[in-house]
Amino acid sequence: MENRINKIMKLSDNKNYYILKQAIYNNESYYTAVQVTDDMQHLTEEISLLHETKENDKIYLTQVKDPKMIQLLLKYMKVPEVTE
Amino acid sequence: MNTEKQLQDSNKLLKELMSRLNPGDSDEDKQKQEEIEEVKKSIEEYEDEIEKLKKKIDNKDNYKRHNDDLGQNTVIDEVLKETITKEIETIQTFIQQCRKGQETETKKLKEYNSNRETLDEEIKYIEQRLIKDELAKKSNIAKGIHLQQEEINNLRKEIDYRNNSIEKIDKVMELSAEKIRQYGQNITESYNRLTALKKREQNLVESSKEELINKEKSIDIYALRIDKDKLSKLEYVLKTLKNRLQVLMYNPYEEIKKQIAENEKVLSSNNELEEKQSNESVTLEKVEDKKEENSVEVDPSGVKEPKKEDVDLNLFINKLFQETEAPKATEKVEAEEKQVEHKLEHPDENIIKALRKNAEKLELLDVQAAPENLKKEKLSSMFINKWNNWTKKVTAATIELVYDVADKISGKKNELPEVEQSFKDNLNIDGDKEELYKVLKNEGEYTSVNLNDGEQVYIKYGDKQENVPEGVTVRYDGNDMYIYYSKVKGKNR
Repeated sequence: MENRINKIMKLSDNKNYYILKQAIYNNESYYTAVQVTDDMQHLTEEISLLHETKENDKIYLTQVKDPKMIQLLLKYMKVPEVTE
Repeated sequence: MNTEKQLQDSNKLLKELMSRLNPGDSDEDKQKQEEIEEVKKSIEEYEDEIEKLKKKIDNKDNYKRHNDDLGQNTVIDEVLKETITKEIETIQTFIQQCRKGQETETKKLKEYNSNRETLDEEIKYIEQRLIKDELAKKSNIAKGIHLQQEEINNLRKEIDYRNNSIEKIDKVMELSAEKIRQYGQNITESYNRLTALKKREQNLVESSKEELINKEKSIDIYALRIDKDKLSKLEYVLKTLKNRLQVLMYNPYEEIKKQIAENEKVLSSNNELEEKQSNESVTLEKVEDKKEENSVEVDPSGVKEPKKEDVDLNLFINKLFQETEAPKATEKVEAEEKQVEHKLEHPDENIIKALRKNAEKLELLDVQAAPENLKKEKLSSMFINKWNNWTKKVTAATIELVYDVADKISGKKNELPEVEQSFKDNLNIDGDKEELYKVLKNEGEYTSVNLNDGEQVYIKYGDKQENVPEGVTVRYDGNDMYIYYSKVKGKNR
């Protein structure tokens, strides 16, 4: 179970996702991720919740669609307070 | 320049000397040469003539000798001999003159040769000087070229240096432009943040005002209701007490005695007194009726015979209040607050549609560390606001998907589902070095924490996020209060 916070994941849709938060539930990782621009210099507004699974030694990520699961994740992967 | 002038002067002088040295080059030299040639020719002519005359004389001598041999000696020979002798003398004189002239010319030639040697020397000297001058000139030119080359090199170096400076300036300008862009971005972000903060402040003020008004209203209504309840209870208590008092004070025998006495007095008086007596009897009946009424009111409620403690008004009131305790005002306010909290935004249709679609499974191709600027941007107020808005919209959409309309209106099921224990155990929210500090489970519990700046604060069960210091996060899960910290030092004391 790797810590992927503050890392960029490149997925098969050729998009790069920056991991904002990570939660582990039943030994599976869930992420709050945001797409980054192609030059990987800025964050976009495309935020999503991703669920990591492993099949045949390959890692897959799926958007979380279950509303209750989303609620649970959002409850615990809270948005940080503005500190600036 | 001086060298060139000297060179020109030297050339002129050299030309002059060359012209002098070359006989054919000047008229005077030609004339002298011609004269010398003429003298030479004259000398040769005279010498030829002398030779001829000598031969002639020799011939004549031979002839004389022959004649002498023959024995002939004549006067004619003598005259001829004299003439010839004179002529020979004349020729000899002429020859001497010619020789003198030749000597003179030879001397002149010698002088001329001497002059020529001198001139040759001068020419050599001038040539040497010219060569030296030329060499010096060449040397100077070479030096000049060298100096110019050095100057060119220096200029090139300076150009390179200036080019480097220009490049550096360009870089500095680029950096400055980047900084200016960053500053502009920061200003924009700050402005957006300020605008958002102002908006938030305004919203907070408005919501606070509204909340305050609602609270005041609810408190007023609640207080009024309590007052009314109290009043009705007091009225009821007063009424009961009055009844009890009347019951307690009622003594029928004394009343009858008094009445008989009065009746006796009244019987002896006039009709008016009789009427008066009849009125008093009505009152009595009423009192008796009242007694019955009291017994009807009190007994059905199960009130026993009055005891001493029942007579104590305060105790009685307290008892009544204990029996009919009203809900606490704070609970009501909290319930209202919960309702306000659950007033969600209108859910975003696009998010709902996206959530209804099947999830696409994407393969992870690569993982790499994010650049520092993304980490900074993540914590910027602008992005946090976007993130916050997204969270609200998604939450609203999930509620739209999970609960029906009636539930949403009542707010009954708007509370998030209970967290499973396994989730709590497994959950890792260490994204920003936030650690669980303590869990408070009951009303009245509190804990103290030491912040990094040395401040010690107390946090009690029930405190909300806006009331705890920066660096500490509180979350509620059902009844439990979780305290997280990121800037706390030391341990719970």
